[in-house]
Amino acid sequence: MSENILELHELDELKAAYNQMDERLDGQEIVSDENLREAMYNKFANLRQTVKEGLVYFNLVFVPVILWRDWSNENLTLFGTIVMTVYWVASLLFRFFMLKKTRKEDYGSYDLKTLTDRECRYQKYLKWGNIVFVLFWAAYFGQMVLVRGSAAFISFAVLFLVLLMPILIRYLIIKYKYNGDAIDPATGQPREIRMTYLKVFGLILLGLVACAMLTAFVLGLVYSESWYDVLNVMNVVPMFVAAAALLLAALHQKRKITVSGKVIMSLVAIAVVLSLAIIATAYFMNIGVRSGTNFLFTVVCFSIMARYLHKMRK
Amino acid sequence: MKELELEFTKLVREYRKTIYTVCYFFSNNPQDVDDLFQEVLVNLWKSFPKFRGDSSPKTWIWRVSLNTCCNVERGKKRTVPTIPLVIDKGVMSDSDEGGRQIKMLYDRINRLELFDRAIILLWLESMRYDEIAAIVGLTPAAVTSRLFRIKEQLKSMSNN
Repeated sequence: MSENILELHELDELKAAYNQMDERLDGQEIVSDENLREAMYNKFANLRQTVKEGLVYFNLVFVPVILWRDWSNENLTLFGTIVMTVYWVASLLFRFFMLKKTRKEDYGSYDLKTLTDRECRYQKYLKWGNIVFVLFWAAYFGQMVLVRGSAAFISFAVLFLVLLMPILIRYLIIKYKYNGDAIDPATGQPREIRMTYLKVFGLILLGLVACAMLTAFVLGLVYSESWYDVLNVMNVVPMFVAAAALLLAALHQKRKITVSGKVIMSLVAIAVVLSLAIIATAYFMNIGVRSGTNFLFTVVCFSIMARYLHKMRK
Repeated sequence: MKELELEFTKLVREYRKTIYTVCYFFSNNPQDVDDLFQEVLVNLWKSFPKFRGDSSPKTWIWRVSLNTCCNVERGKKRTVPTIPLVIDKGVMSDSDEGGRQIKMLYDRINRLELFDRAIILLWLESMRYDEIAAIVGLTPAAVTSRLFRIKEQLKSMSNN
């Protein structure tokens, strides 16, 4: 305390301002009992859910189902099996060694320096986790292309392009409308993309869906010996729509754009209805039902993830 | 559980001014104060069952508040939705001399690094150097030298 008193004269202006603030806050309620109760009973439930945790749980359930599905369809090489098994074990280890620790983090036990060091270490692990995520899925899709041939490659390439569309639209809007300034100076937050632009995206997406279906239909009529190929191509379309919903939800969660729940649910509904319609057609024509159900499975998975990510925005 | 909640509510009510002050100096704009306040509340509630009174409640509140604010501001991550605070927004306006002084203090502290912000706030709170050292995880000697440097930095800053 004596050391503080000796130095007070140097920065007494700052001390005076601090005391001034202290006086002004006296008598201020700041947080009402109602707000405190609301925080304790409702908002703390959010602590149990983080996006990373959700994705890890999703991996733990989703990867074994994929393995089983691809194995039963003979679409899985030994390499693919090893890759996905290692990935699944990595997710499991990540859940029990990383997320469990971060959840139990007690801010009252650590000093600031220790906590900062721990956080830096976690951030480093999370970055490695992201790299592992991309590498393993790239390896999985790579082996899938090898098994299924060029048709699968085209599917994945188109899927990738559809996924890039919202990013491209956002990039163009920011570049030409806001002169490349991605942050809104009024709020300090990333600019929100207006409903009008999302409608443009929706229209482009619907146009692509229509073109893809028409192309599949024409190609099926001209080149294919059976309707099986037509339905196979058409099956990919709802998957694109669901993937687009997933990407929009991810961008929404990351606060890059703002998308209403209705838009996500509409895209998801379109994808599921399209997929079901294709399965029903296949059922009545007695062809390719199994392929349709596989795609429906992917569509449902993408839809659940999209809904989950959209809800996770804080 | 009910007893724990009552104790927690009492403690927060007693130290709400401290929590607000830390959040205010770690926020970049007025909206952020509400967010940070909520984050601190969450972490206080999480840590509360483990708080056995080894340190004073004041030290514990400062520790959790600074840890939370530094962590949130470093990562800019929001983990919980915001509750609006019940505070007269005019309290911090710079319409009078007192308000302008507070604004000057905010502007200067806000230009410091996060770790230095924590140390200077504890010093402004008139905490002993060994208490500051225990909260930030440095030795008292290191706190002394760091405070000297921070003060020089603050003095060299212009009001603009």
